[in-house]
Amino acid sequence: MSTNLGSQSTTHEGGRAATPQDAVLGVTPRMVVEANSPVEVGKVLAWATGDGLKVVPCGARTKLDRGAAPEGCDVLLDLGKLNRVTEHASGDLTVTVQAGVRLADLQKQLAEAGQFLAVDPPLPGTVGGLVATADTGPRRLRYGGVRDLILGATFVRADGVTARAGGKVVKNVAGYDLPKLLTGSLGTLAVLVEATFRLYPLPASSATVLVDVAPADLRRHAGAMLRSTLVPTSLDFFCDSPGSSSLAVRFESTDASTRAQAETAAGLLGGNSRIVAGAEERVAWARFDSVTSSSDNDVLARLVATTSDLPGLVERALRAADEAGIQLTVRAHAGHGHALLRWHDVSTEMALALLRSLRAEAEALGHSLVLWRAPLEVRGGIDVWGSVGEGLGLMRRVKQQFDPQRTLNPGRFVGGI
Amino acid sequence: MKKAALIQELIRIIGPEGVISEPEQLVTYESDGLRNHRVLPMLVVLPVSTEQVQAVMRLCHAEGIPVVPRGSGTGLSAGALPVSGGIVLGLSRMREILEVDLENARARVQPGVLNLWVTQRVAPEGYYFAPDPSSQQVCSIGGNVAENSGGAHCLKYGFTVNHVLGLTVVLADGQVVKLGGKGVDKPGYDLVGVLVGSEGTLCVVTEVTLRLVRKPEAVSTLQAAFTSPDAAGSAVSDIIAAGIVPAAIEMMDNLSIQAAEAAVHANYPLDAGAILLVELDGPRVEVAEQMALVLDICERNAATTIKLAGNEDERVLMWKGRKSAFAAMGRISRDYYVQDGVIPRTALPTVLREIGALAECYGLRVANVFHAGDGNLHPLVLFDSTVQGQAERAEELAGEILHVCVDAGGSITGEHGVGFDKKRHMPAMFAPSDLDTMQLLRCAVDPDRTLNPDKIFPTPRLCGERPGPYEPHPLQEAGVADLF
Repeated sequence: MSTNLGSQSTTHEGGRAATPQDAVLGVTPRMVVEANSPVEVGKVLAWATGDGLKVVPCGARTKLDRGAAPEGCDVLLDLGKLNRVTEHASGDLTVTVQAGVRLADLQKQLAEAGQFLAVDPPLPGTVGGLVATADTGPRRLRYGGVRDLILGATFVRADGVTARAGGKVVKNVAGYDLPKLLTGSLGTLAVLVEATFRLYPLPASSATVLVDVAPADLRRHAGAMLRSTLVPTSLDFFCDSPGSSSLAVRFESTDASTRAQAETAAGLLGGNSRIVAGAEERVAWARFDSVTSSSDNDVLARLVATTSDLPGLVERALRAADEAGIQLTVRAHAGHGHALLRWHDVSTEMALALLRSLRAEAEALGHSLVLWRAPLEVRGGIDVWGSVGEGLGLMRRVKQQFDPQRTLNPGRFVGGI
Repeated sequence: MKKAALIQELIRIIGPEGVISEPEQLVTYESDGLRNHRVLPMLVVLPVSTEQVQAVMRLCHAEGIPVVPRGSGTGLSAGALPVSGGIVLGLSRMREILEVDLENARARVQPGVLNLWVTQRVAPEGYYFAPDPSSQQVCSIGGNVAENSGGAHCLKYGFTVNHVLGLTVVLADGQVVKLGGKGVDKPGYDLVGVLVGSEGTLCVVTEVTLRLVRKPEAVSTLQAAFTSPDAAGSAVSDIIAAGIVPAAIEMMDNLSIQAAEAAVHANYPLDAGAILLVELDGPRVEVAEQMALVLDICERNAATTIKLAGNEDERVLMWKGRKSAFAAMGRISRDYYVQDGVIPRTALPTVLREIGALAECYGLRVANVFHAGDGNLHPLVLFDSTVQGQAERAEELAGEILHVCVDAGGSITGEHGVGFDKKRHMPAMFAPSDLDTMQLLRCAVDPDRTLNPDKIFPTPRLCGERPGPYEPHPLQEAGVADLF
């Protein structure tokens, strides 16, 4: 089947006309192409760049609202059919996997060998989306970010040329580490078709210490955990209404060590701390996860700071929302300086006021506030990325080399890249 | 600009004590730790600040003079090999620890700071800097950043790149850029992630923000002897399969044991086919439980002797033999050539057999020291340079070993870098389009190739090149199943 792309009379086999459901932040593509193989990705990109078309790659479409609206979208390139786990080398603790594989499916398969890819992002979709956004969750504290776990990548450049960098082994310093450059690049440099990651063994047991902690006490309590020799895998603060906030410290190790560490932590934290495991633990964490289940009029943003500055910023955000009569849900990864904030059912004007003032406070300290989800009117009033700092010029030069015609996700990334 | 005028200008920037131009002094800089490649630089400059580095880069860029950055000069890939007619930019006088921020577990340091100094500075507070290359007493943080150095504890704690959060860099044209910082995931491309390990070809690093790690509650080290590397390898497989992530697992073969024992008397059993050092660290209860499992696994794999370090002195002694293994080769061979291949750990038995066969074929001995957890193999090719042709044969054999590693699905370098020495092996691992794509980055950052111009890539890319027509990647032509 060929689809005619309007006046430009360029066609691509296997494409279909796009519908409003395919829109990317209000921009409806002209066609949707499902790639059946990495080779086909190369052909689509060579064709698109040759004809001056704009391409937005996608997988499970869980994070297509990330970044700014693309300047144009002729082709929505769906990589969902690249869904093969190419090689799980369990003895070497590595996996090579195609970009369209769903994270949940991958984890299920790895679990059969007692292993996992140590990421727990808030909006899990495909491996491609994981690498494009570099999203991480609470366990980043113990296992590092996507950049710390990716070992190699095979990708297609905007001109259709396939290349790879990195390798399949845990340790490798041959050549430039382009997998790290691609991680978090939001598909603006190349289209990932396959990646290799290092894996970890699934811990034998898990327990969580829960304790009520007021925002003003978060820094002290998180500090006590971080200064200790305990090895928590997650250290999260959660608040969804004024006067009700808690800290959750998770331990995952052998049965005895999990228990011993949880008991020590509970002793250090004091107050009404209690240890939960099993179903009760799952319920507690599910409540924390609810920060991202936003509805249409909610605004979701991520604060990126140091562990020492994060509590103060969170506290001020909570106070500002309270004063404005807006409900704010916060989930802060207090051990690595990230927080997700959701302002509930907030007017455009109020959302912009709250976002601008929090961003100003964060940027004054050298930190960032990035808008994740918001109605289009809110997006229209603020740069979703905020200040990028001195590196922006260099980033533009990198984009210019990899994608000089701006085929890939034009305008979605920082500084209009 | 004439050389005399250039020297005068450099002295104006740095002062006379930071400019070296006498041939007898320049000799010190003609090679790095890999001494079989030597080039005399035109000049060496030793700046003390970011501003001085910036002024030097501006001058050299304008004059078209190539610049090779250098740390302590301990690298083993000729990554700091000077360029004839070029300048060596030594960062050894920039050695201040600028800030220690324990609440955020960060340190901000200058590039000439030695690796071990960071740990020494924060150890009293119970912290340390995790990357621990064997040369940590003499190698610099700047060099670690350039090479993305590893060490024995990579399997659990990662490499330099996992511990660098921010950089101040000077670009080839003299522009100073601050990237990253104390926090993680600033918006934008992860330039820090890709500049670490770029071997001085993209920028000069003048300030580094490091992650510090809390010292574990407990450390436990075990030494087990086996009749063969295969038996030791099987024990390693069982440890990994048991879901244990050791802080380190090191393997030494009989030849390495002989050498280490002769050099430092670490009480290694001389008749062992291989010994394993297994180190676990973390919460006391976890370490105790998992070490019991490791002991059991070693016994089941017919370990001939098993020793658990009873105290810190015994632990240090166990490590002393391993850390001095390279230098110890001098006890059993006049010369040796260190290689740095990586293999998927499970391929060890086949790879060792192939290396053995190659060694026999070349009539040379090869000792093997192996980071068994992460697959980083350090074959030491022993030779005698006074025997005509043997040095060349040793180098050729070392090259063949790298190809064995690549064929097994590994890499030509795990921690030493490509440098000048291994760039000819890059095509064994990467297709022309891969190398071409990597150099897009170079074109973005240093299109004139002012910085370390003749390293990493066998064929430089001209930055004005237009991309060619679509061609399938060689791996794709071989069948998509083998992509990667």
